[in-house]
Amino acid sequence: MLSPEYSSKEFAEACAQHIEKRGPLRASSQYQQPPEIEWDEESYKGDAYGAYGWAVYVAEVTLDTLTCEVCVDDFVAVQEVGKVINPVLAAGQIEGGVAQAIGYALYENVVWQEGRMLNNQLTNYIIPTAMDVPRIRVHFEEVPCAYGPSGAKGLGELPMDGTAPAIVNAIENAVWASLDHLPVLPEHLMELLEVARA
Amino acid sequence: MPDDGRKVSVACTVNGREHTLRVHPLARLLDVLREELHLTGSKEGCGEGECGACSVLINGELVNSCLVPALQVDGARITTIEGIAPAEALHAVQDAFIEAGGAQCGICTPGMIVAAVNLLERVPEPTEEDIRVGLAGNLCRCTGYTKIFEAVVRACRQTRPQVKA
Repeated sequence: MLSPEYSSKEFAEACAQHIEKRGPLRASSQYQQPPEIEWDEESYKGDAYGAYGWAVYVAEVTLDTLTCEVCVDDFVAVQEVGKVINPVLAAGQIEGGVAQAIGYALYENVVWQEGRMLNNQLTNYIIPTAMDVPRIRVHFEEVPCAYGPSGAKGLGELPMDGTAPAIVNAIENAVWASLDHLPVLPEHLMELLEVARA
Repeated sequence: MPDDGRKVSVACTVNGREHTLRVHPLARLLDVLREELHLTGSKEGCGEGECGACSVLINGELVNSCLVPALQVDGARITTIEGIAPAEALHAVQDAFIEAGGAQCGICTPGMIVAAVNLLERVPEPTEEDIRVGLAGNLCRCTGYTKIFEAVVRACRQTRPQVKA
């Protein structure tokens, strides 16, 4: 019904023709785990996931020694995600994840009381604004994954995992102290630095 | 909503069209736009003036429509995301958002575009800092802002080819 090069209008017409001739299009498929991926459901041992993404995160921060405010000045993410299918959207996912994790590292303090979140408004649950996020630099390494669609692997979750550690490492490098709490709020840093000075 | 007896007449121009509306004086402009005029492009994010998803222009000024009582727009000229470009066409900022990947889930997008259009009207050749300040009232949870900044720079270059980013 369609030539290799077709417009969205031609696609819509072809769909309409198909429905008219053969009724609604139904497709079904079932996932079968490739034999190389070993997972024992009984003992919970083996490869929990079929394909892992890999990444390197580098953060450059400025710490104001008077106010103890931390600003992320530069951030580089290098991602190995199999095959990048849509470069703009893929980079957008990484940039968004990094920005959320900047919030996780520096601002987003969940206050619980009796199982409820006390600060459940944007007024008191602070997330990064356009003033708080540097232009995030994303680079991809492509090593197509044998079992992913067109060689792709998942990529959305990873920037939430490595970004906060990169930022905390940068702060630790600046203050020569060990941090064990997120978010790194100015009041925590101030306390830590006062103890260190005393 | 209260009965009609407590409603007032509010005359305003929305996206170039004149309207006389019967509304409760304290109805939020956001609700009037969405429910009375069916202009559902403006979104309610937080409803407390923090996120900017409901941004509109009142007499050319960028405001959070969730914080504006209807009575206050009597005689005003309002522009919503629906009125940013003529029907069927896209504003250079909208084109740039599509090309740069400035939109992901879409909730912040209408407000973000209204804010970006307002910024470029005020500051036709914005610096990086101008862009950040201009969009500081519009929260985005998906994009990390990077592609939104790119889109604003791109729109700026499109309307003024001599500008270098």
